[in-house]
Amino acid sequence: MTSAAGNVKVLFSSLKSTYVATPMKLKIVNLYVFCTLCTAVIQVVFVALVGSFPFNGFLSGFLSGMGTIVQAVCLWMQVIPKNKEFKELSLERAFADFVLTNLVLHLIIMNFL
Amino acid sequence: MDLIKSDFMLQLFEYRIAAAMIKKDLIASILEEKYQLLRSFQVLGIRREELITCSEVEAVLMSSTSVKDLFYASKCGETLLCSFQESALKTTVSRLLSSLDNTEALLDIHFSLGTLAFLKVQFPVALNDPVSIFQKIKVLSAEDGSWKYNPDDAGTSAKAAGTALETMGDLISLAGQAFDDAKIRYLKGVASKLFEFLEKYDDGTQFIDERPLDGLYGGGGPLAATSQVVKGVAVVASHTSGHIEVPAERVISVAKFFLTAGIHGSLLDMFHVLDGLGVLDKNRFLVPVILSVRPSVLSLSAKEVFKISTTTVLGSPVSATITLRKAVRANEKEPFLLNQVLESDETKGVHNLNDILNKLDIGSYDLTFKVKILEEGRYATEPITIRRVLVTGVASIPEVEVGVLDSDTGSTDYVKRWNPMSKEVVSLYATHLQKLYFGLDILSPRQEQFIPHQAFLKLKHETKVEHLFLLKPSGKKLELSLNLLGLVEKLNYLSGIYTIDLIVGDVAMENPVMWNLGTVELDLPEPPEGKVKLTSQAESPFKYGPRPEITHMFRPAEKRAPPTLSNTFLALTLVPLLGFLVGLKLLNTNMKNFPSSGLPVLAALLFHLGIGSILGLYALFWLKLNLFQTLKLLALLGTVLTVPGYYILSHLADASAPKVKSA
Repeated sequence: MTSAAGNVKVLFSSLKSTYVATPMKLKIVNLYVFCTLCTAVIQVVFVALVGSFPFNGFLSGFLSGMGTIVQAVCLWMQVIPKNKEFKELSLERAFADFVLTNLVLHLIIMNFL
Repeated sequence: MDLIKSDFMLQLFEYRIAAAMIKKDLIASILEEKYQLLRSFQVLGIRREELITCSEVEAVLMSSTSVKDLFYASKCGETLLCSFQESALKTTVSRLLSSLDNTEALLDIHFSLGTLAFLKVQFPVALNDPVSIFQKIKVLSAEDGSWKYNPDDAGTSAKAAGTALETMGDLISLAGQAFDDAKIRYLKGVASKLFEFLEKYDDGTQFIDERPLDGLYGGGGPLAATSQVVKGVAVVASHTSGHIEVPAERVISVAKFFLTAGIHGSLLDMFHVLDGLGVLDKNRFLVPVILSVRPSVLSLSAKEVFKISTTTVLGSPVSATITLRKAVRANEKEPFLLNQVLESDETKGVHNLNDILNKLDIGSYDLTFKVKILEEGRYATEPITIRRVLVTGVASIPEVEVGVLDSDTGSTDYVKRWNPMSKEVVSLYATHLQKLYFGLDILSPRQEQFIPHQAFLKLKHETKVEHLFLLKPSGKKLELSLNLLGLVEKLNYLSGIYTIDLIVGDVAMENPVMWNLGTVELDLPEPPEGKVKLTSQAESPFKYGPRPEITHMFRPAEKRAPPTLSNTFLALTLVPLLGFLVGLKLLNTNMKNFPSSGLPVLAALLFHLGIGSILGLYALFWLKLNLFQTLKLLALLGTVLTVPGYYILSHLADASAPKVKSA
């Protein structure tokens, strides 16, 4: 047992050390994704408690969370240095895409709200 | 004139009444209308002196310059049998002759020749050039036998052809020697061909329809057109010897058309019908003969007899032998009488049908007659005629059987034979477990079983609520069986005393009955819970008064979360945002790349402000604006945003590019 627990501890610490090495930009994006996910989960819990009226309100909130998560993941994919595909496109261009798509998404979300 | 009235000639009675009624309204000031009234009275056999006198006619003939007035004046003179002197009318004649030379119009020629033909009866009149006049009329004809009124008319019509025939007939009477056989044959051909223009109604009558061209030259509808065609043929026939090929069946149909035309109070329509009938009554080509059966509703109790006559359209008798081919009861197949030659009273042309009277029972019969006229060439009749007659009589109902039966077993608890002769009434008692029974026989005058059209039983409660039931024939008896168990609901659970009335009637019954048979006391159970026992007062407001108002029921509002819970969760959703900021701090993020001076600062600030303003616009969109306004403003802000955005991002790209390149 102890060996298993010890193995888990070693696993965690190795993970942690590797993670520190990731670039700052990616860490920010990961954090963003995580927080947005929490927001969406809280909304789902609310609906489970109270019932789905008004349904479109729930949908717009939940889907906006999902939408930004997807966009953030796209940004993440474009920012990774090891990624060969997106070498031509600069980081700034990726960021601009992220901003633009976010704005469009939020327009639609507000309409639906 | 002792007219024998035919079935159709009932209408002539109406015309007579109409004619008598216009006694007071002789305001016809136009000569044409005066002539129409005169002619109508002539056909009906009424003498009216005050319409116009011969001296008035002469005055018109001497002084008028309109050929139309001259024509109608001469027609009035013809009807009144006036006579005039040549000396007075010499100028008129010469005026007419010169107008004939100058005109090409059919109606003008018609009026002129008509006047001259009338005047020729009084004194000799000679035409200048009859052949050219004939040519002038002929040139207006068309291939198919119809005619124009003027050389430049677009269409043709049969009515114009009728007018042309009448005109040419007048021409023959004025200058007969100019007409050789060829021309006569041509005229007769035109006359025969005209009958092909006849159109049919569903009831078998035929008529000449009016064409649009006729509307331009006086109109008058199908009555005027048919009457004009018949007149034209008659005038040609009267001035030529011999026979015009005219199909007998069509002449009969035209006669029926006139006899059954509906006159709706128009004196002009009446004139056309009477004019046409007057021509058909006496003419030289073919006179239609009408068979009539009188009376069409025969009453056995009044001991009436059938009188059958063959007459012309105006009622003059025509000798013929009539055979009753068969007499069939309506809706049956088997004739009960065959081939009976009717005995006739020769003096009046009336035939009797007495033999069948003792075989007739009440009801409708179809009688088929065959007519053979003694003078075949001049008269036309339908070979086989069918007439429907209704025989009425007194039916008798000897007794009515009234009973109360048990529902389940059918055994009679009470039965009574009610006699209409006696004064007593039945008084029954029944509960909902029983059945009421009514049965009766109806006998015709010949003691046969008779089923009437209407046989009802009426139950009327003391509160005046009525219920009607039909008595149905079973075998030859009329019966009604009321199962009270099933009727309880229909009677609205009303117990009490009901009066019983029997109502029987039929078109052939001269004595319809409504008898009060008595009363029945019904004992019905109480209505079940919730069902209101309607009295007659309660029923009527719902039937004839306003209904209760219907209020709309809105959908109930959805359940919403209590405000405290909602607010808690609102706060909870903001927590991850804070968590994001805290996390950023923990990660030791910095803003080192933010430009510090110069244009980049401005651009960066504008960029962030721009994004913020767009988000603010979205908030406004949610709160206040609609999509169109938002899109307009978004377009504006978006374009504004792209400038600094592009600038700052490219600036950052350039700033970091050397680093990448160097690395």
